[in-house]
Amino acid sequence: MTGEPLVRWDWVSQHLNLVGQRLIEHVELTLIAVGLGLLISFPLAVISYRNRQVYGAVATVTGILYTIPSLALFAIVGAYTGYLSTTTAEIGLVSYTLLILIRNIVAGLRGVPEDVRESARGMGFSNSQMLWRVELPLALPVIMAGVRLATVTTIGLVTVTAVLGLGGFGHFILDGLRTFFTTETLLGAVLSVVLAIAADALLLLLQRLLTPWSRRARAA
Amino acid sequence: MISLQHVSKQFGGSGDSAVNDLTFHVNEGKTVVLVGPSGCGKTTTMKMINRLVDPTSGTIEVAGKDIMQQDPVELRRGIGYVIQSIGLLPHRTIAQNISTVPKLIGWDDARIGQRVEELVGMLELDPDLLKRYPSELSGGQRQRVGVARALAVDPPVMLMDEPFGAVDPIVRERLQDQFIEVQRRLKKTIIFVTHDVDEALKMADRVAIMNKGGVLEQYASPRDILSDPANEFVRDFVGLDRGLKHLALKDDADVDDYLEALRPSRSEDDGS
Repeated sequence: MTGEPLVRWDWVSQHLNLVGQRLIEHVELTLIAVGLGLLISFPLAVISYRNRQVYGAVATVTGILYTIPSLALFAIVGAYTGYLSTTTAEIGLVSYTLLILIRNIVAGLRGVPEDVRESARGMGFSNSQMLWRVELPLALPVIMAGVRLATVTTIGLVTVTAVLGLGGFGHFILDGLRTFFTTETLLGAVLSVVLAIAADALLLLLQRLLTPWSRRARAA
Repeated sequence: MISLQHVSKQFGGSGDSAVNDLTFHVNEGKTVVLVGPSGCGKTTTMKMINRLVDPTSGTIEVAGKDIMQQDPVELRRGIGYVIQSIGLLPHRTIAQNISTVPKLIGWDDARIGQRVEELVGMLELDPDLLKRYPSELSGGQRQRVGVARALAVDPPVMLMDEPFGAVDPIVRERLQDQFIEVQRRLKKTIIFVTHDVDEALKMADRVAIMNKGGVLEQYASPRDILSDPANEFVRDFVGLDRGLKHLALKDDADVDDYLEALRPSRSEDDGS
């Protein structure tokens, strides 16, 4: 026993700059992953919603991607696109968001009440007006639930990209483990969890702001 | 105003008719009520008029124009549409719901605002409701908003599928009375679907009684339906062979009294 305390607060306070840098890295990797994930998922989900066969294929492929262990995925992708590479990290991270996002967008669209759809069609909404003005707004709570889940999942997975030399707070965890320095490991782990909870809360707030009707319905 | 010529509809591969060789004509400003047991094709018939369902054969004309030659989206914007569950847009306030079609066809905000105000007055809606969401309204309020929304661009033709079906009998009667008053002023051409015979007799200038398989059994005024039913099915369906109607309707004067009792008294006009 070295007699050292579990957490050396002096070390933490000396490395606040580094915490800031890694926070930015962690948030950046997450935002890019979820943003690209949405860009890819959205058209696929809209097509899947209208065509069951497409949905079958899309669900199978994204389902397989989702089952690949993250460490293995980064190792495989890295062999092609290089290690220490943001591209490698993002290919992996984006892959994991697809299943969650597509499923939630499709489920949200399917959950739009049939009578609302029928009355909208009867009033003369065209197909695209129906999508943008009726179906998507009403699917928003379910879509946002997917975005929250994808974001929290990605924040967790970003720590794994530490093996690629990236990783945001994952750096702390990996360094701490390598050097048997508990302070650093705990710092990385706690900050990752706090970031995930904060992101989830922020997105929940955003969802409430975007869907004022559902909140008032609950109050009424 | 609306005319159906030998219109039939078969769904899917079954070959069973939902609507079978239907021919009738609705004059401008009149209300025709389609009534019949479930599965008689009354809703399908109505949906063919705004092309939510396309007929298998036959022609339908609205205002002298074959609807199959028109863009369905444009056609629908010119026809008021109310369904039983109303289908208000849950994410839009009541004011936004009423302005749905005016917005779609590009009215400016001032004109929309003025129109919403008019409709609120016409249907005696509480103006405070305009800022609320549909989930915050009672069933009766929602139904009136649904009618206001369908009237928004003042379409000459209205399609109404059990528009007062989802409320309790007392509210329903009030809504029916109110709508009859509104219709006396607006003189829309209306196709109205219901399964309730008394509602049909009350609302209609003409009643179309339909039977399973989409067969038209009788197309006549409420008075003629009661005093001169075309066949056993009609007698049975309107309840002439049993109960109170059987006892009460012995001659034409009884029929007039019965219909009179269904309708709101005209004296209510004076207030509006």
